[in-house]
Amino acid sequence: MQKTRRNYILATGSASLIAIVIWMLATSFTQGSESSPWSTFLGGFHPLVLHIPIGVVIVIFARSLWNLRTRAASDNRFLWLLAALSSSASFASGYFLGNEGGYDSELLNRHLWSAAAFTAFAWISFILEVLPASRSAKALLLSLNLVSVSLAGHYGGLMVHGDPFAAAPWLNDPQRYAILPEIGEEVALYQDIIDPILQAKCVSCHGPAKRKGSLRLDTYAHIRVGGKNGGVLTGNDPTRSTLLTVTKLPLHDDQHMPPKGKPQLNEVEQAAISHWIANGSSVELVLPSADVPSSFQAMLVPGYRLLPDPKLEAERLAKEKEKQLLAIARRAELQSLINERPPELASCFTFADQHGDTLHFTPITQKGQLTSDLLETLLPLINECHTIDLSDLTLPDSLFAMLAQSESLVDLNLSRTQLTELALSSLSVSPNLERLNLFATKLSAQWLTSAQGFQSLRTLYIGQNGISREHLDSVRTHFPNTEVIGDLYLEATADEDVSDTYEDTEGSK
Amino acid sequence: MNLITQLQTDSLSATTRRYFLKECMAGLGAIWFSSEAGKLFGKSGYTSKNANPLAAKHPHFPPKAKRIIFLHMAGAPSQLDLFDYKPELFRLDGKDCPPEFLEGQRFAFISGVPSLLAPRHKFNPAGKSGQMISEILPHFREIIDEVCFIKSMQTDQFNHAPAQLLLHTGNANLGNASMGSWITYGLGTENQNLPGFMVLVSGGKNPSAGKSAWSSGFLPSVYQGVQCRSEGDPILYLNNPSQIDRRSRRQILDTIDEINRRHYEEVGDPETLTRISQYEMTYRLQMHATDALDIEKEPEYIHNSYGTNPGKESFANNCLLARRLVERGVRYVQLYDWGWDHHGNGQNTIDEGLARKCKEIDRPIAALIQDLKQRGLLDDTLVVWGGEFGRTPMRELRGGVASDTFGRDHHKEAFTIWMAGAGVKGGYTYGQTDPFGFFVEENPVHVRDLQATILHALGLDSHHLSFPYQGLDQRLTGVGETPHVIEDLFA
Repeated sequence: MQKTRRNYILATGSASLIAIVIWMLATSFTQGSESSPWSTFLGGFHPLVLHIPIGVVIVIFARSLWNLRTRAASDNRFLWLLAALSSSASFASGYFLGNEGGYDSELLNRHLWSAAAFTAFAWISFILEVLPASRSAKALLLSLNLVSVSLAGHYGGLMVHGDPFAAAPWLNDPQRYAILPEIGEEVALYQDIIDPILQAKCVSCHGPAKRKGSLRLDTYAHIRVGGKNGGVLTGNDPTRSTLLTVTKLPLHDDQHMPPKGKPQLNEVEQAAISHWIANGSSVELVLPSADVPSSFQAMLVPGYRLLPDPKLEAERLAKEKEKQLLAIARRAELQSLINERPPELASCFTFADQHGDTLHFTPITQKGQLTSDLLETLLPLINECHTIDLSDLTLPDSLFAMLAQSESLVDLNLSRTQLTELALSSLSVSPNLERLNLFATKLSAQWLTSAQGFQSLRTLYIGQNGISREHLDSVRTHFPNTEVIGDLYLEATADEDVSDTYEDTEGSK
Repeated sequence: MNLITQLQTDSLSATTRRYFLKECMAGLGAIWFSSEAGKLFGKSGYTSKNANPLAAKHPHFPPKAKRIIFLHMAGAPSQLDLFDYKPELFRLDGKDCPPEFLEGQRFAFISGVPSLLAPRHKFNPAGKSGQMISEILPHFREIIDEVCFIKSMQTDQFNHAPAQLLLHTGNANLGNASMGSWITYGLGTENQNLPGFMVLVSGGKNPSAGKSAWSSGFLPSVYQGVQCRSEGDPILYLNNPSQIDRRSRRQILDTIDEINRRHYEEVGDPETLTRISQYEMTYRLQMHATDALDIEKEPEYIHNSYGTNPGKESFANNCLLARRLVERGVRYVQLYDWGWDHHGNGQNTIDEGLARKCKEIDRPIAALIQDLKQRGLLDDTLVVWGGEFGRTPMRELRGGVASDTFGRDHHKEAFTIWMAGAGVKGGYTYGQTDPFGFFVEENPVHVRDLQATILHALGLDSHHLSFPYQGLDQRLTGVGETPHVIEDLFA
């Protein structure tokens, strides 16, 4: 018994010694105003270490409750030692972290003293556990521990993560700043426009509760003071004032604000802030609403939304997600169909980008090999394409009836092909065809003016077909909603544009 | 064993294989481990498949442009006598330049206090947009509503070679990859029978930055720009020698390819792949390039509208060639036209020199834009025109002495470029300079921003288009810089 007690006293003594050494290190590290790189390093462990004593005290509490029921005596010496040691380590690392600055001094002070009390109580509990002590004394100490650890945790959390109650649904409507209050004849730029923007999109992280980068944007004075990286307003220069510039950085940039995924500032709001900075960024700036530049006139319209309607936003997101998923599925499906083809034919099909399902058929390299039979076999895939380039190819008329059925087809290039009237008339029923290139074909203007349909056509290229100015004009009147391009080199015919010799007859592998 | 034999055995053992193996057991193990472990992260172990490095690749997001024609006026044309109209300079013509402009500025040649110089050519409004444009570009007026100006360009360099390198490789120093190389690296090319990045030079000289302006830098050399000769055959030796027909050429290449492939499987050097694909490309070039590069096949009225001069070196020929190349799916066509450095010395005056150069480019450029539009190519071809920097609103005062003729010095604070095609806003001007045209007053666009914007038009994010080299993710727009995409240029 004597021996064990001596061991514990030894343990206690050495643990206290460690605590004192850490404390002394802390003070020596922070001599003068310069903080040492070691204190930064050790301070970084605070978020890791601090959770251990909390967990341990909760375990002790749970065990004590259980023992209350079974009336069994429990041996908590080891757990209390663990709590005492880890709370000391947590206290030391927290001390370093606090010295790094950037925290609200009042909250930091409360956090420090409640943590100090908790560390002390933990050690006392351990000593009481080792020495024979009454149950009531132990129970009192346990409750003191619980109270102090709760306080320390609460203040610590407030400093770093903000007050969760501030966002409680019964207290606060996140949509409070969603709609800009109506503005009268005179616009007080800061109060009426700038402050609501900042309240809606910045203050949740740069406000009284959470002060990321020690920056607060909730009051005019705080904006002027800036944060730990300096002022956010530089001269009267919007291009150098971080308040504005960070919102204009690319979204993936680490410095971009508001962070990716949060509601962003749109161009109108940026223009308002830019105007405010350029005109002295003063709190008193007032201008008649008629003088508000057109770049942010939109904000004066009653009911201007700073934050999207949550219901509509959720619906929009769900729709977008659905569309994305369908595109992914369709892309995979198309890709597997493409992969079934021999590689040189598969390479004629490319997607517009890395993610979508917009497919292009551009057989530039393979034009020499593409016979009309081969084309026919590719038709099921070609019909899935958004952009189809068939220029310079020999095309059977039957192909066009199939193409016209395609709902994917938007952009079709038939330049330098042997186009026939039949082909064109079958194509006219194509539902979504917007861009049709008939450059240097043997087209006659009558074919086009007699064609009904082409309901979605936006752009039509009919250059170099020997069409006269009158014919061109008649095509224009026939398609009033379509841009008809073909004025250059009028009366030049298709024969003059020499098509390439694409055939690679000998020596191909 | 005496001392001498002892010495001999020692020196022998130092060179024997067994001794070597025994001594570097750990080292060999480490080498093996690093090569094996590297595969886990996909970094080492090149695939032995003959992956074609120029195969068309998907851009990051849907692109506005598929191809680029970059018209570089080497020497830097005067924006103040062509596009950036500053009537205030008429009032102050000949007056001393205000000291606040000169403070802290360095010029290539000006020293002392230069005087301001009014535009030396008349300006008139043009097109539906009514923008002011110099009368020495009469044909350009016809296409002004297709063109989007950036009048607020800025660069860091005021000497030709570094400024050209900065514009085309993103770095004023040598050794970096050019924009065309980056783009073919990122997107491959659509036509496997032609190079993806081609360079055409006119004006009698290469640009000051030389071939480094179209170098592939640290990227695999397969992405290097292919320069065509300005006179005679654009590419030499495309025809087979008289005793060799195409089939035997094929057989030779097959054998060489096989040897190269074995070598690659053993050594894994990506440059071997470059060599293989270059041989293959040349074989296909024999077939297709002769045709693509032969502008004589064009009908008479095309020649008339471009004002070409077949067989001679001319900017007009190069414009027509550029159209033929983009029509065949070449990704990046770079034109350089030398001789835009109008300092006012000798023939290089703002009055005659600039007018003469403008006459050379005016008709071909207008014809190129109209021709592209006619063929439906302008929708997905981005045409960029510009110099490497601008010219001063002051008359050149070389070494403190004004010459008899009028000229302007290099100016990096503000210059003008324009773009057309690929959905840029026609008849639109982005950015603005002060009333003297000295500084940018509104919406500055650094050359890095221009590069990011060009990449953006092609569906590439300048941040994600990177290549690991010297421990850094290298980018066209710089490793640590944050360029801005000017989305406002696009409709």
